[in-house]
Amino acid sequence: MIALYIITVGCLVAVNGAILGSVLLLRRMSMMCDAIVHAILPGLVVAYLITSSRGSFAMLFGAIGSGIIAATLVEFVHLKFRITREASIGLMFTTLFSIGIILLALFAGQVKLDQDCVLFGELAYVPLDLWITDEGLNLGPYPIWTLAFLTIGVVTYVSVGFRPLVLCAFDKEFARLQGIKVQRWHYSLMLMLSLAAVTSFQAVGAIMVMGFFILPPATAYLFISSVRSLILLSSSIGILCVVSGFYLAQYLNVSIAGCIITLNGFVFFSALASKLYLKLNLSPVRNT
Amino acid sequence: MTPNSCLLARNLSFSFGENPAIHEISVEFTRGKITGIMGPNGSGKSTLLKCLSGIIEPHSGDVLAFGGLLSDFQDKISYIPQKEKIDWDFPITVKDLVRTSLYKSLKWYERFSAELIRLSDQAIQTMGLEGFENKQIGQLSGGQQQRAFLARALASNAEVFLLDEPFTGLDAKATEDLIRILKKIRDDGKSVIVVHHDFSNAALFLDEIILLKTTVLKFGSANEVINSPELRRAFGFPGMGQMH
Repeated sequence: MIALYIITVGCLVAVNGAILGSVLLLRRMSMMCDAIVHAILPGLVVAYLITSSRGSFAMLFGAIGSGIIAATLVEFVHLKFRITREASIGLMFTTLFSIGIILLALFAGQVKLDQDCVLFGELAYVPLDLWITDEGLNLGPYPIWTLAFLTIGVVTYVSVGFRPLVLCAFDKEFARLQGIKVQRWHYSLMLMLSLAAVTSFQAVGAIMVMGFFILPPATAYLFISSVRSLILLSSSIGILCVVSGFYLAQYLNVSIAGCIITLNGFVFFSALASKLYLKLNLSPVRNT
Repeated sequence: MTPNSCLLARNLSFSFGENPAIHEISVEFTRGKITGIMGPNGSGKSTLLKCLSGIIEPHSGDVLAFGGLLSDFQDKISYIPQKEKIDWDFPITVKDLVRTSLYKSLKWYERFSAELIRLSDQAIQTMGLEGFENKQIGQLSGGQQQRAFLARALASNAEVFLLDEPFTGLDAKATEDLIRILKKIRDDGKSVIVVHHDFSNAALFLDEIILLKTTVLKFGSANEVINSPELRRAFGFPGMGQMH
C-alpha cells in the first residue's frame, strides 16, 4: 500500500507537470515554473504569519498570491524595461526566494516550515500524511486528494483552453486579432502553475518540481508534430519515470524524487542521442 | 472614406519611447489592389502595417475599415508576420495552422464541422499545398511556408491581406510563385497590402506604392513612385532604393 501511495502521488505530480510544462515549453518560458516555485516561499511564510495556521487554504492562497505577483513582476520588468524574460525570471525568483529565506530566519520560532523540506521534499513521507476522519476512517494520504483535485482542474483548464493556449503560444498577434484575450490566458496559466507548484512541491520539493515540469515535455518535444501528442507523450514519459524511478530508488536505497528526476534526465539524453543518430543515419527530417 | 476603399488611416502616429516610428500618416487603401509599403530600414513600414491590422494601437489617429471601426471588421483583415517572428519548430502541421483561423467559429467543446473542414481544405488547395497538409511547418520550403500562412488567411474569409516582408529568403522561383498568388488574390476582388523592399520587381505586381520615411513621402502608382525624386531622397543617394 505504501508503494501504491507514493507511486500515485508521483504520477499525479508527473501528469500535472507534463501538461502545464508542455504549454510552458511551447511558450518558450519553461523557466517560469522555476520563478514561481521559488517565489511561493515568501507567500507561504506571510500566509502563516497572518493566519497562524498551516491549514491548506491559507498556504494555498499565500502561494497563489506570491506566484501571481512573481509572474506579473517578470512580465512587467521584461516588457517595460526591455530586459530578456530569462533575466527577468532570474531577477524575480532570487529576490523573492531570498525574501522568503529572510522571513523564515526572522520568524523562525513562529513559522514551522523546514527549508530542506521546501527545497527537496520527500516522497517517502507521503504515506505518513494520512487523512483520517473523525469516525476513524482512513482516506489515504492528503497529497493524493489535493493532487487529484489539482489534476481534474488542470485537465479541465487545458481542455477548455486548448485552442486559445495553443494560438497564444504559436502566434500571439494572430490570437489577439482573433479576439482571444492573450493577457487573460497568460495570467490564468500562471495561476494554474502556482496552484500546481504549491500542491506538488509539498510532496516532491521545489527543486524536483521543476524536473517534472521541464524534462518530460522536453523529451517528448524531440519526437512529436502536434500539441496533443506532446501532452500525451510527456505525460506517459513522466508516469513511466515515476514508476521505474520508485523501484530504482528502493533498490539503491536513495531519494525517490531524486531518482525519478535522474531517470527523467537519463531518458532525455538517451532520446536526444537516438534522435541525433536517426537524423545522421536515416532521415534528414524530424519524426512525424 | 470612399466606398471603394478598404482601409483608411487618419493621422496615425506611433512612437517607441522618444522616437517616432510613424508620424501623422493619412492614407486610403483601395479595394482590389496590391499596395506596397516601401522605404528604408527603420522607416516605420512594419509599424504602419501593425497599426492597420489592429495589432498595435496608434498613439494618435485612427484606422477605419470598410466605412466603420476597425474593431468591427477585424475578421475581414488578416495579418501575416515576418518570417523571423514565427517559431518554425512549433509542433503544428499545415492543416492545423490553417484551421487556427476557424477557432473563432467554434466553442471549446465543438469539433470542426464538415463545412469548416471543407473551407480549410479549399484554402490549402487554392494555395497548392495538397499533399503537405500533415507536414510540420518547419519542413516546408520558404515559398510553401508563405503559402501556408496565406491559406490560413484565405480560410478565415479575409478581405484584406497584410503581409510583412513575405519575399524575405525566397528564391527566384518561389518569388515568382508568390507574386502570381498575390495577383490571383487581388483578381478575386480582395486587397493586399505588403511591406516590400525590392524595387527591382515592385512594378511587376504592385499597383500602388506608399513611400515611407516616418511620414508619407509619396503615394501613387508603382511607376510614378519608382521614378519620383522622393525615392532618391528617401534613400539618401541619387540611385534606386534597396536593389536585390
